[in-house]
Amino acid sequence: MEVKNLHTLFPTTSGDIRAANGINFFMEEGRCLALIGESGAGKSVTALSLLRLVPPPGKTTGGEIILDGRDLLRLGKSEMRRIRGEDLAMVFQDSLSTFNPVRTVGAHICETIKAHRRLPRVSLAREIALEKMVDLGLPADRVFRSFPFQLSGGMRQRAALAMALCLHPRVLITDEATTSLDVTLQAQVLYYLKKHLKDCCMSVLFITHDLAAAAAVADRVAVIYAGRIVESGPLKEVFKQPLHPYTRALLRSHPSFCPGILEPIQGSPPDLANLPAGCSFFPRCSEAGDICRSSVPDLVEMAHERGAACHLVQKQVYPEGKKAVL
Amino acid sequence: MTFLSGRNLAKSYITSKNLWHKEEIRAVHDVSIEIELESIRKDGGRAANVGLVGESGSGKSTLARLLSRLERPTGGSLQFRGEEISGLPENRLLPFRREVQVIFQDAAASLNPRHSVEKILSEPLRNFFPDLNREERRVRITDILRQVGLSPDHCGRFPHEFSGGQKRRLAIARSVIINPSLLICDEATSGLDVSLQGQLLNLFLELGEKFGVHYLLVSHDLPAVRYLCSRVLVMYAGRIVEDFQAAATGVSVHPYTRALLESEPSLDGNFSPRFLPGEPPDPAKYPAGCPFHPRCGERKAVCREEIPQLKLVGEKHRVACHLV
Repeated sequence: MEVKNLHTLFPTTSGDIRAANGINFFMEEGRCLALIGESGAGKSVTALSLLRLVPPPGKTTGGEIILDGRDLLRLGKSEMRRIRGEDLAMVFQDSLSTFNPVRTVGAHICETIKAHRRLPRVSLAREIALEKMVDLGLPADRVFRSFPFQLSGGMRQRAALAMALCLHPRVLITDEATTSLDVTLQAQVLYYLKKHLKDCCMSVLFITHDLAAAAAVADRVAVIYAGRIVESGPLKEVFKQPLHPYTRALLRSHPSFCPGILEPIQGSPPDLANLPAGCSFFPRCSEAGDICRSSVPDLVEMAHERGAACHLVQKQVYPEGKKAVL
Repeated sequence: MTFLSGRNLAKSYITSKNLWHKEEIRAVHDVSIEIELESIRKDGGRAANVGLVGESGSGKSTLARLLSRLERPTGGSLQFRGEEISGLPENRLLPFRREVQVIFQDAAASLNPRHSVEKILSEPLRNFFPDLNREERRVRITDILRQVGLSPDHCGRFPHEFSGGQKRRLAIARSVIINPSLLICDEATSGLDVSLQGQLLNLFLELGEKFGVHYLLVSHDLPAVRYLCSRVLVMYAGRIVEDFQAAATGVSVHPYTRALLESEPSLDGNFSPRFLPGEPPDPAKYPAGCPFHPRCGERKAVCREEIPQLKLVGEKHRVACHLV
């Protein structure tokens, strides 16, 4: 799956809110890409844009979302409906509102399966659902018969994961799926997610603001700021040696990554309705120069598989100005 | 004299299961805890702070509410500087409230939307320092706004005009303005962005150093607790199961504490598949014996029968486990 130059905006009376402002990334089979950033950076809007579920009046105004050679933005409504769930599934943060409160979890999952597959026997849907639940370490029989409110948060999140996985999607998007869970339950969900990823050869887009959770599951990472990817690359390398000043500042704000006294980023994320001219991070950046104020940096390849959108880093690596835009 | 000490504190709630049956939820059970005000040393004030960690439903918020006397305990005693306060009426709690303040998780909800910043911040001053005149109050308000990183020009604004992080700062300013000795923070940094969380943690340390505030940080965020606190209390099923010094890494011995520390995602990308099986117990029906035994990998026969008591096993280190 590849996303090129994705733009999504929400028109308001005080100007357009550019929630996704030229997003570029790609995902590989059997690997997990973490999309990290602060709230309001455009993480969730990116996810919804991929599924073409941006709530009106928001709309995706440009770019390409290529899955298996097809551009999802050009597909018709019915085709898109088929792809959602079958090729592209999503798990949301709030698992209580994922499920219908007056139906059992099992009935809900079976409905998903029946909507997409023509089954020779009706009971086959049940078997598929139970099998997926067992895979995720759930007491399948009990969960199948339970109503959503009867399950604990961790179990419910795993049931939501089972529902998303039961049609063997090519790409799974999880939006803050472990954020509201306790550490022990988060570890359970992350463990099963990681195991499934290896077994089924699917790609996962793991959206989170929790750097530690991202470090636990992801192979690659893309850092998003004000609707743009500012840094991308293999997770271990990015966390060990961040290039972009924002990534560096983000890691210095987290007690797990910063051994001494924290040096959190000052200020708050920019207003997406009127972004500063030039690099959107420059008002909070301690190293910003004149060029940062005037022109927007592109995401440029800095090393093998590593990209950064920062004028200063680019100047260091390519002093003569030769750049390969990712 | 101990600043705040709880002995065998208990809190249970009676809920009706259905029309005929009542259920007793034992949120906190037999907790003894002593909080001393140690003199703040120059290591950023961390020395004196206490962290209270545990899964949701373990009773940590209830314990925080008991210690701040927002709830009356249903059993045990709570002493403030040697004086019993568990049954005192609200009007006699003023000296206690002046020294122990609380910050809640949802800062936005704890600020009156119809009060301006000046009114919000002058209310605690009127309550606890009635002798101050208008001008003196204004001086203190300007001062505290600067301390928490807001501008004195914000005085006329209302809570909705602030961002989430600024609202938290305002809530902190309101608690710190009367110069309390202990600030109980119930999940005060949870659910925030990393950058904001970092800013707040540093603000806590700064205020601790400047005003001598001590913290009781209730959180499920282990890195935050480790950053701010030297002493960590671990709660499970309404009881304290371990009480240890955070600096002494590897010292924790209770199987639950170890599992809690191990289920934290590791940062080098080599996530160990070890995690705790099962779910925390239902507070309406705890298992007999040690409440942790159904999830414990090392349980013995005695764990099923007898509830382990908190025992001293080392310097400043208490554990409630039969195996230790």
